[in-house]
Amino acid sequence: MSNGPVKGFDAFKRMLWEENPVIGQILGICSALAVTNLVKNTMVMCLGLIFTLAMSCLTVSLMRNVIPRRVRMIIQVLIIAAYVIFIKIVLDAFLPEISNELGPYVGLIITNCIVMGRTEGYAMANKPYDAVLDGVGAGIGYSLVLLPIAIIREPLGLGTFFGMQVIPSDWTKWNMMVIAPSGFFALATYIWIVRALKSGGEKR
Amino acid sequence: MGEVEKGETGMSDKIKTLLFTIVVTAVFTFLVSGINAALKERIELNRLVARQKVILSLFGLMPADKIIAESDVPALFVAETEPVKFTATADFICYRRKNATDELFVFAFSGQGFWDNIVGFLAVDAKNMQVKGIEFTSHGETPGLGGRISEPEFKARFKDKPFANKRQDGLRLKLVAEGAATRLDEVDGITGATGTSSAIEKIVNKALAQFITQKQGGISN
Repeated sequence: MSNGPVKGFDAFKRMLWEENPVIGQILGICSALAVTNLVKNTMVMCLGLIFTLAMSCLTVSLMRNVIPRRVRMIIQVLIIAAYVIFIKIVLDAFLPEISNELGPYVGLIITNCIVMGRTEGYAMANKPYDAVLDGVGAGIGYSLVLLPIAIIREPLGLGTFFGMQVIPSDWTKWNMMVIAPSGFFALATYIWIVRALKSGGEKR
Repeated sequence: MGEVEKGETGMSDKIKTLLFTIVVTAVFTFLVSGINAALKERIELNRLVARQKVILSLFGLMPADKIIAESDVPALFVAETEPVKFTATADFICYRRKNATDELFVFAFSGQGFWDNIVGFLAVDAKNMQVKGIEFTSHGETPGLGGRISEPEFKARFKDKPFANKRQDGLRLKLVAEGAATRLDEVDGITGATGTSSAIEKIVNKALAQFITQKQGGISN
């Protein structure tokens, strides 16, 4: 990953496709496997991550010139944790059921490598404007992987989409799609397809 | 990260770094606790409503075809149910319908699951000594395996199970291999979640025994 002169919308755009954190760097897959059996939960998780990334990148970037080098990682984790706890409290207060279903995964955004990666790898060395675009880009890039997987898993596994019945109830549900292993298969297949498209058959 | 770190060897730099860390930590802690304090009441209310909903649903007062607004739940709860006080101990949490003519009781249980504590409520008909329903309010079982205990299909397995008498093995209800329940006092467990199944067996038997003891001691209200 270069911290080179990628600025502005290029910083945003490359995260969606070229340097997508999930496809390119296989980061953040713990949550990608865990929450993608329901579209609604995936949506909340993605919004949470986009918010965390945008705010953490902004804050780290604003503070980049005053953070002592030695303690920069601790400070980054502290900033990320503050925003994630903020999300958790807001979810508990306003969307308690979703918060309950997401269980520990909201809290685990703190350790999501994408956030640490963007703050340390980009926000620490770039202006706030670019850092926010980069962060939001990474969050949307993550969502672009998770949402399609959820859109496949939920209807096949539970016969529903966003909690609404979309597949006739005589359809035999694929219980497999609800549990974590199917997340592995779906994610792997997705990455395989995307990488094949990306490079037109990657050359060794 | 490989680079030579300049200018951070002096004592004053060390102190600066330390002070910086302390100040930043204090600021963020303050912000987070502020938000927590501001929303605490709402979060508490949500928890209370979630609990009341579970108890109401065990009394059959939350039919699926009737949507009850979250904000109406506390009032409905107060109007329809009342706590039961037993003579034996005061800290056994139990409810019944107000002016009830039946002997339907809903009481809390908790115990160690496979991973985390399993907490919930049991509904029993004390006249016919049958389990009427079970709900779990919190558990940390493996999603897809032990986590299936919160599925309606699993909870329905307890319906109408008699618990008046102990079996030969000392249990009132036994969780057996999935699909193997043949007797009334047997409940299908969950394949792939033997740990959870036996934890549920233990918790439910303990809770039922506790209820019987309390009930025999008499009700004081």
